[in-house]
Amino acid sequence: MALTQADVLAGLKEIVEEVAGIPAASIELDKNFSDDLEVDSLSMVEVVVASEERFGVKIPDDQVTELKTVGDAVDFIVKASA
Amino acid sequence: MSLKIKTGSNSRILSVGTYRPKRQVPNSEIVDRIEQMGNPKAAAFDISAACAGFCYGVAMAKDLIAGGTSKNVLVVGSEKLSDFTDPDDRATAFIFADGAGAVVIGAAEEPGIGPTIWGSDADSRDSILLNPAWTDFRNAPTKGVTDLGWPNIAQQGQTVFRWAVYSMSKVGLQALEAAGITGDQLAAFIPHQANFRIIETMAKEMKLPAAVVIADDIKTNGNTSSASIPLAMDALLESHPELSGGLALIIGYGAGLVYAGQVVQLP
Repeated sequence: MALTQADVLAGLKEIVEEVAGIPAASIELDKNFSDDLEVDSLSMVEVVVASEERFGVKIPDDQVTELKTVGDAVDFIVKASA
Repeated sequence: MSLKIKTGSNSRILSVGTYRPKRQVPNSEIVDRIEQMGNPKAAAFDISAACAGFCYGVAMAKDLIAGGTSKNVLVVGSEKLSDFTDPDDRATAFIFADGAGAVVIGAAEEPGIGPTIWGSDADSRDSILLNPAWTDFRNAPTKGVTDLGWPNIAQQGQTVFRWAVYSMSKVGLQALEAAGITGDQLAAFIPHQANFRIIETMAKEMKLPAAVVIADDIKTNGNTSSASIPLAMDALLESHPELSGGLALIIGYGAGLVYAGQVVQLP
């Protein structure tokens, strides 16, 4: 079953909070992982792997650098789950 | 530093080092040092398995002894990574370092080295490599280092991190299972000192108990490739002498990509 944007955003907030210690309340679709949330490149890998497990999708290494914002990640996961 | 091997001609020297500046043949620079080490006739050869080399060496030493080929084996991890590191590469320059460490492995009444879990992952072959290749210089005889650059280590950090943490933690658990132990029976975890983020995330993924002492020589000696595990083991035993005789999980992984891990009893 395809995931909704709200489902993925809620789950991603929990993951980013767990991995990077960033309060879920400050994680919004337009936030840039690196510039706004200060999620570094290695933490981003942890976020990606946790997202794969949680949402049952595959996010290839060459796609990770394309996920600049929370919205990019949510969109990718929603499409991948469809 | 000089090392003396007390055995006769059926001892072996495994020289574990991948990043060697001098020449490819003769293949073992340690042959240059053999006379100083007290056994000029010992068999000696290189293992080129990058940062996994030490654990490959431990596996081979164990089997050489168990098979009756050798009585004692000196496994030397020795690297000069500074010759292959671009000082302007922010992804690698602050991590890699030069170093050497060694262990002597000999026969014992009780086994002190568990089964080795090893393998390779050629799909990610390009994620750590030296560029340009030596043959690039031959194929472009009018060009040299000025045009082609020097073969420095290039690494895809995110790909390597993901592989190291999530694949190698599974290898670590397999090594524990093969040795017939669980994490709470370990005294120490001594992985290749690649990057402390990898080390701590691996330990978390493996759910190692807090009582397991985790080697962190990366903070002192940096990433010395195949030398990092024996260096980290030595540092750990110096700071925690009570670990002597306890069980440690060692696991090496690196360019290839290749990996090997086993449970060992600490000297």
